[in-house]
Amino acid sequence: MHILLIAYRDARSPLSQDLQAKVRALLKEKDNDVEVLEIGSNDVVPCLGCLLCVTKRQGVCVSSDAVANLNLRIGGFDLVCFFGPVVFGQFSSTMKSVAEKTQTNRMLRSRFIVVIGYGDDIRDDELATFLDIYRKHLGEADVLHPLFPARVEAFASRSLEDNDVLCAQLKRAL
Amino acid sequence: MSTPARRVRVCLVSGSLRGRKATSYRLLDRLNRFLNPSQVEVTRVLARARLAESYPEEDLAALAGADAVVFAFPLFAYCLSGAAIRLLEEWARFAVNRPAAERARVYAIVNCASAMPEISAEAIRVVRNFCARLGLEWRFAVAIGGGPIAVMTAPIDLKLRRALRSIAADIQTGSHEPPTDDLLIRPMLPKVLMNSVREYLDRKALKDLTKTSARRTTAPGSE
Repeated sequence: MHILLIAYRDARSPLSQDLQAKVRALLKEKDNDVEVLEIGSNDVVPCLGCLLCVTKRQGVCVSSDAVANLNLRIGGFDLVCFFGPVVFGQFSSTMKSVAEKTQTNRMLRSRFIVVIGYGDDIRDDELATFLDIYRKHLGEADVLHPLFPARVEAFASRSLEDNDVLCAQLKRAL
Repeated sequence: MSTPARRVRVCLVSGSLRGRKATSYRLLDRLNRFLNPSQVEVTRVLARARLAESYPEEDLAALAGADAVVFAFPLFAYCLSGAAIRLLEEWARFAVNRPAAERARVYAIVNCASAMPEISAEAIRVVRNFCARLGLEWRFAVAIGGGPIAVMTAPIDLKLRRALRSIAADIQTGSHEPPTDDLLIRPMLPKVLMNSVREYLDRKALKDLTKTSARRTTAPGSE
């Protein structure tokens, strides 16, 4: 498989570093070809919601940033993995912006999406919200875009112990 | 002589990057019509796309110093957009070292382009989680379906009017009753029509993207 791991670069923690190392090793199993793209807060302009990428510009965003280059080739990956911190129960602003801005192109060919959130102090309600966003609404449950039935798997970790559990779950899902 | 009561400081926040054209901004405009200027003092904060470092201090001070905050935002992939969550991140960062004298009351207006406003549930949970983190008083949300259509039909949409009025009344009475259930406002256009438009756009996007993708892979020098 040709895999793209998009990871948040800023605000690293022992938890995130440990988890990223383990996830990378796991994704590389079975001779998978894994490309890692690290994105920082200043690399992405948030999505304006203009919908021109859908209606007029064939997937090309009106703002040029790191995601604009990525969009040209994101459809070529068999699996795209988003890896970033969770705030208040959803991805933090940078990773959320990347997910939004790649959505149109991702829908074309990337049929398998893995979402991994992490944070030392994620509360129970926030963890449940984060997982529900993906489990209740995306993939086959996506009522908004039924023409693009991607497979979506979501995971989250709050501790080094969780990292091992998460990797075991991810291994089963791959 | 008694001191006149202080007006309630209300901060209307638009989480959209489309400025004054945004549906979120225009819904806040409609809410503002129901607020009595003799009772409330309104400030506005708009989400910004490009930030050198953080939001201007005056925006963050308006949020942190408000008695009531109404946060209107568009639904992006079943939760808050990157720009809207950035605004909450900045507010949380600002509030850490500046504990507010009183707990602000928080309301949300979520507008989604779908005919089913109930798909905003997880976005509302994110705002509730945010309130729990900052110790703010969560009141309730109005989830509106139809996106821009909701604004077009607003003058004749009595349910929307009642929902916005209920936010205004809750702010002005300062009620500390347990929060009411979230209010769901379905669009006035039939669901089948809205779904057909969405499906048409998706089919067109799929066709265009497939064509463009084929061009990219066959172009000289392409990977």
